[in-house]
Amino acid sequence: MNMDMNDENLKGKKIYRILLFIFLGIVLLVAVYASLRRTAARFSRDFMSPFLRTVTVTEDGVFYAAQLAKPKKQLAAEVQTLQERNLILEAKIRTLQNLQTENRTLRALLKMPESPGFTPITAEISGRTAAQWRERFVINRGWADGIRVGNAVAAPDDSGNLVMAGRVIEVSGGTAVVATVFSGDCHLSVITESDNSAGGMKVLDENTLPVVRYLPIGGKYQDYGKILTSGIAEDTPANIPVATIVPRGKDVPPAAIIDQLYAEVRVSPLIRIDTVRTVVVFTKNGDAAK
Amino acid sequence: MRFTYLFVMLIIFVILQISLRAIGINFPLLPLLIFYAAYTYGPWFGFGLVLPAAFLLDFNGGWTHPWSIFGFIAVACFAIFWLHRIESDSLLLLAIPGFTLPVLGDFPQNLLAGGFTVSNILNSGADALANGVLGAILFPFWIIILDFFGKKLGLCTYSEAKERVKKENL
Repeated sequence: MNMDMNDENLKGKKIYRILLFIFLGIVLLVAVYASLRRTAARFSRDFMSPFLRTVTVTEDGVFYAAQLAKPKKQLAAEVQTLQERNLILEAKIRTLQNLQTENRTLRALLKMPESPGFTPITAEISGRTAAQWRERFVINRGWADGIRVGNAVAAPDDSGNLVMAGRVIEVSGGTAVVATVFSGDCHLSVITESDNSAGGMKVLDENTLPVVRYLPIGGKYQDYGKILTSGIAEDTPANIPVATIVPRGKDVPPAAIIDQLYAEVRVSPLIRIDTVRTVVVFTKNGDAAK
Repeated sequence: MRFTYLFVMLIIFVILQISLRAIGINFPLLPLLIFYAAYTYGPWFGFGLVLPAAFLLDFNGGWTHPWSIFGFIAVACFAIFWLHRIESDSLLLLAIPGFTLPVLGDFPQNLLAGGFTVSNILNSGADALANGVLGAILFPFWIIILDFFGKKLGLCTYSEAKERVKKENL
């Protein structure tokens, strides 16, 4: 009888110990999950990045090989057009460089702090998933290329103009995760093109269009008016087109007044996120890899 | 050798799945590999593949959390169930795991990552259904391919797995 009770006691203690260990294990896992996840994410992305880069290189190789199938005349015409476009861009850069020097001198004279410059880096999308196709993607450049969390990411729209695509939210050695302008993780400081009214753009619900909040009540807001980056945040260049204002209806002003405090407009991002393949990341001068 | 073979296959399958996803084709290949590993080489190999497969796939796809773990565990469990409970292995019957694996291995994480909204449930459901049908057709071919390379390396094959279990049970 006594032996049986002792056995039961021992069994009970054993179960109690196992449950305690399981409980402690769960607590420990929850406690270290955040840092574990970050480390695992960085390691996984860096481990796979050379392989995925090879895929991109192969794709480029196939694309160039396909170009060779075009008639010589067509290729020559394309080269001619590109050379002309390069010349125009070169001329524009020279003019901008002069303006930059002038700006720097004037700032120095007025004893104002020097404005941060940006170095654009091109990157290709190496991974994205169906479930978050519009909200985020992975690019094949990372910390080693000078990319940091918060960097602005732009991409060409249908007509080839550079528009805001999103913001870098995670970086590893050779890759970075970008939250697009359709994602709740991407907040932007923006202005209206018509009268430079400043506000904050964010996505309240990922199934609806983003909104620009905290705009001044007295601002001029037109249907399809352009929204640009304000440049207030030091990691985002100013005046990059972001979105257009969505009309609320016929004879209704596009801006809704919230609590008599600020105006709010619904906007439609300019980026055609479904077809984006190559993006430009604006790294701050000094961060860019030499 | 089994470990090396599965590791190499894991990298190839991850590259394939991510590259296909990047161009808009969402066909889950890793559940097939996990099923194959758990069925052919035993549960340790199947469950051992779950974590690295989920980490490599989800983090390289841009997800914040490795949601695929849940679906992949379900796939490994399904492989063990299939190995021990189903007697026949006719080509027609292989269509069942072929259909089930993409649904089990992709649908739950798409819901978890994309949110439980009507549009996401419909989109993910349609994806899962299409992938299931495609999986039912392609599954025997994947088994043949994986068996082909496995055999070249002197490893046991999918068709031998059932015999091995029967011998172990005797």
